[in-house]
Amino acid sequence: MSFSLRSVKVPPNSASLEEARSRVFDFFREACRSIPSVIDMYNLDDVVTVSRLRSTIASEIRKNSHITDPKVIDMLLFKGTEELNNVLEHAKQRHHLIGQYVVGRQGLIQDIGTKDQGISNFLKNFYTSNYF
Amino acid sequence: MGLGLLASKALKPTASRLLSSQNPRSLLFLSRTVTSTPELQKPEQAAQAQPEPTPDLPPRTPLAGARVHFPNPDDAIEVFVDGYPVKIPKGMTVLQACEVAGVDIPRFCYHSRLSIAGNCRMCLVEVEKSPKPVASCAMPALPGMKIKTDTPIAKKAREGVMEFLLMNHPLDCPICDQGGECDLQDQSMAFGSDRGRFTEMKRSVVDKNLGPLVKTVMTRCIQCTRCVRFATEVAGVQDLGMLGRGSGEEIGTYVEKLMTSELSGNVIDICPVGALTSKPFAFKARNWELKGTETIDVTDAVGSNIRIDSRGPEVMRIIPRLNEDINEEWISDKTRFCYDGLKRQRLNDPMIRGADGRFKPVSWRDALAVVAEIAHQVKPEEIVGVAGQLSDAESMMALKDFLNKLGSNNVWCEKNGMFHDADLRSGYLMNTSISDLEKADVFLLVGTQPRVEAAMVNARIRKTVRATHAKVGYIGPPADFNYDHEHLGTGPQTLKEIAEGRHSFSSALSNAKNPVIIVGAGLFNRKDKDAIFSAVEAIAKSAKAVRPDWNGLNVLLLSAGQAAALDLGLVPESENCLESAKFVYLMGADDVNLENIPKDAFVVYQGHHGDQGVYRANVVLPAAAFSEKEGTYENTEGCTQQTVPAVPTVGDARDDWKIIRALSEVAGVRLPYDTLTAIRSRIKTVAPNLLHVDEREPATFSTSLKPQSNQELSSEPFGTAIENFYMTDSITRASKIMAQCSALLLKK
Amino acid sequence: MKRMGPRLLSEQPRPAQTPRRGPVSNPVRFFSYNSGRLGHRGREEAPNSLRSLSLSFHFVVVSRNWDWVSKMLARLAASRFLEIRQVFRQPSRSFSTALNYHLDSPDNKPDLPWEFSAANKEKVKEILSHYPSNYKQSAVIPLLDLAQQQHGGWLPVSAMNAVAKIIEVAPIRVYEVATFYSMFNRSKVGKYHLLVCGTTPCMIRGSREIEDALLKHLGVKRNEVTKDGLFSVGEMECMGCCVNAPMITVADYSNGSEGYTYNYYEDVTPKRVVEIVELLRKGEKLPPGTQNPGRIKSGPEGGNTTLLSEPKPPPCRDLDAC
Repeated sequence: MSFSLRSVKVPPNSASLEEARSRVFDFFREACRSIPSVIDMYNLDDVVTVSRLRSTIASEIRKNSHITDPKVIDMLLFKGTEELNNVLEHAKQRHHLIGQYVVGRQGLIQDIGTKDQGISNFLKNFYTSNYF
Repeated sequence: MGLGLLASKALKPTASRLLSSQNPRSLLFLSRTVTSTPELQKPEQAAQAQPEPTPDLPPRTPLAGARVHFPNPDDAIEVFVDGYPVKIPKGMTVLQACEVAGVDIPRFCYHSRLSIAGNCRMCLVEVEKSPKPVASCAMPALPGMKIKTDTPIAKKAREGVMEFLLMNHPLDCPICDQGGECDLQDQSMAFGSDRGRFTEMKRSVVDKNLGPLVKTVMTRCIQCTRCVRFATEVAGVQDLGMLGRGSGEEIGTYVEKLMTSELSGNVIDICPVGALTSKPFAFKARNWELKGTETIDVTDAVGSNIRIDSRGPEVMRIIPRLNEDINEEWISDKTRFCYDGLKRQRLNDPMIRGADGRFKPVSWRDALAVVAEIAHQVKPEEIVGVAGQLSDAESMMALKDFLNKLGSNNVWCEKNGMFHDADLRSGYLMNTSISDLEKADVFLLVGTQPRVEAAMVNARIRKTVRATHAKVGYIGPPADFNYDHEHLGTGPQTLKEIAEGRHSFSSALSNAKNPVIIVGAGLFNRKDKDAIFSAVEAIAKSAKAVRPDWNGLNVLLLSAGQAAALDLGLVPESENCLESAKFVYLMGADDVNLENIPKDAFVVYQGHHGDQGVYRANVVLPAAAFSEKEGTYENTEGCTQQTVPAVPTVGDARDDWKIIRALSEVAGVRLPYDTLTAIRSRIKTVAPNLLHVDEREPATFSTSLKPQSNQELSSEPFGTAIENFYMTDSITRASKIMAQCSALLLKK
Repeated sequence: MKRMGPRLLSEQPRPAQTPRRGPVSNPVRFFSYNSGRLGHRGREEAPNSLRSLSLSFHFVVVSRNWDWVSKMLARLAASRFLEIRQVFRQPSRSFSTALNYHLDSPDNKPDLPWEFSAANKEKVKEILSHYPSNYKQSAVIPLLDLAQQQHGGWLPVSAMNAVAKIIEVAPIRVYEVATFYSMFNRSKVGKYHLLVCGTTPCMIRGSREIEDALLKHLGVKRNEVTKDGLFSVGEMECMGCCVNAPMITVADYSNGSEGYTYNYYEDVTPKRVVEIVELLRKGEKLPPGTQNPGRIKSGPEGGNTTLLSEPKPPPCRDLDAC
């Protein structure tokens, strides 16, 4: 039943940048509201918290924040909605979610954590790898 | 026209004349010069411009851009190679003249560093007014000779010789290791005919056992005798010979004898076919899948130039590079075969020793935090740092800076021991550079066995002794030399006698034009080292070994990090700091006497192999080996060279200096450099010669500035600094090939 | 006795190799080129052209009836191949009776001590005096010869090492010389080493029969020593007695280096050669030279037909003839 609400039969067609923006925000709201049911569906209780997933989604959206062409934004939105539908329809599996949205997101933790506030870029890079 | 320039450029002596043409791995033979000259195309124009070379002729540069050395510019003669006049010094052979003219003549038995044999006959060229083609490697070029290398006679000769060579050669290319870098393959493609006429049975030859390093498939041998000449002339061991006659000739040792010489691996490079190949490298890779990285060897203090061939993350083999000044074209067996130690016993995770004595892998964050915490809990005078044999200059600079910031100045390089005299560079370098050793006529070796300590220096001494019959006197325990020497004595007493002129050798020294005295770095650990050095300086003064134009007083260092350490000032402040230390930082130092460290000291080991240092360590920080980092090393003669990373680091290892920089930041005493260039500019303020890569910086002041010491010479005889040639540092100790060699090849 | 080329791996003492090989895939090759060479064996055989004809016939039929024909082909080829191998199995010309590398045996080991005898030491000094003192290595051949005579006809490794020490060179240089020359025997030979000349003039006069007679009589193969250690037979190059062909020479090692003789016995017949062997076995000393009682040295049987009178003086001397 959830898919009928969300599946977009016609790809969005925004007239201007503001319209695309508001559509993005709607999508974000939609996604965040479905997070608890996702965690419930995939038993991610012990793995991740709601706020973490929220920040993950936010960072994904923020990754494309530099785009100004409404058509491109529409396309990205379409893709995002498609992905959200897949997740909610349980077309994905637990390990997909963990791999794509949970693991490897230390940047978020580091942004949140306090012990790494004052370290230099050198040390940050040093902890990741030898080649920088 | 271009040749006038060439002739007038009497440049540095005999640099790489026959550079990569001697390197059997080059495919230079395939890129022959164009044989159709404009003269043939435009005969009228050529006839017009007769008196001087026509401007239409393509400019001919010597082969591989090599430089021609005219020892006596008046003695230059002119010969014509393929119609092109070229000026060459007198005494050159026809083959060398053709090389100056840029024409590469195929050869198998000729090698620029060995005597001329002339038995392969592949170098036949046509010389005008000669009834038959001449062997250009043996024929001296006479003035006005007209040499023709591309005529039908020369080509037919080459095809014929190639046909003969291939007659008894087995069809082993698919299983032969030399495929892809084989002289026979290359030259038969370039100069051979497309078919043979041999239909009989080919002969085969029994394989000989030459040891764990050289694999022999003697059926492939084309009897060029390069290995025989190499063994007699360069390596000094007369083991190989040509036995039998005719097509049944075999190269062998007759009796089953292993090649124990430390230069035995070089016959692998010299052999033009796959008869002598590298046993550890057998069937491992083809040469075209390997990526070659030109870097420096660090297993001894010579800094031989090598090329590391790697395939992906693995080092497959090590090949020498040409460097006329240091190692010519040879490398020692240790250098060549230590690479499989890079794959064993590697440290790849930071580890902390738990309460039960076992190591637990932790993250870098935690390891550095622990070390920084302990570093702040001890008093500055209880902090000691020891740099290892294989440490590069950047990491030693970082270590010294870090420990200085913590308040301690007790840093030194492990092989230097308590050697304090880092003030005068001439006191710890080989002041006669390695290439200038060829000018010497008397050698005095004090407490050093160059054959095991620095095999390339030994090769150079042997070259001198062979060429000029130089005298060699040796003071030390009885040792094996591959040249004639006089064993003068075993201890400092002989030194005193020579200094006072009472010994028979003193007269030889004083009559010498260019005497050379080589003191071994194994003497750094003796109590009476000051007395020994002053005795040696007295000998040098009486023999006039130290003059403005010649400095014959040398110290032969033992490991790659020593010279840079002393240049950077890594000298301990107090003598017995190790016994009273509470925090010991071992940066790759495995040969420190770990018994001296007190039981309650906190030891941090930063290195790449789990060698002896790890047993005592409390924290292990994995670092990069020489093949994985870009580091600056200074060799025993003061020439700065840099290694280049050939393979990626193992596991979670980091570069040495980066670890110390990160540690300093975690410890709160952040070092001011973040990048390699930054740390190099820091080195520039301390020892700017370490930035002039590939340049030798001679010492400015001689040791006569040193104050005299009043120490007494002890009567203890000199010992050997290196017991086992094949196992001297952490890489070679971890290597299986080196273990096999030390089991089989060491003289018992 | 034919001139065989380079030695094969199969000749050398290795673990027994299986001589069987599967059907050869390209049998034609063995026929067309080797035909001329293999004919010298003197065996009666079908002319090779016929064989190759028959084979090419087979080859043509191949396309029709692969199975049956291939078997025939294979058998033919295999038998031919075996023939060729037999030819090669004849001992090649290894006169030095040994290999180009050393195999330890109880009486030939590098650590066995060996020295020149006291009398020979004097000879060594005398030999060395023929050469300049800084070129002692030129004396290697006479010294090796002396050592061989002293040791009963062959050179153990320790003798070569001793010679190397005397002339102050590395042992490998002496090994090189000893392996080069076939007259240096590096494995045991009999006290009387019989050498049969096998070159063309002697061959056409029947040296092969001489050798066969010797080998049959002594019951050994070439380069093998008889059980009592007295005789061994080898082939030798032309020794210059072509007028008195066939001939053998006896290298007499029974009396050490003092009594060493190298005598030619010419004009031998298979019967005479056996007699010589038996006389030698009893220890008698035969006069060397032609064994044909009718000849004087190289002269023809029945006396000279030329040189019957004093030679004419040269024209300038014959003053009467001007």
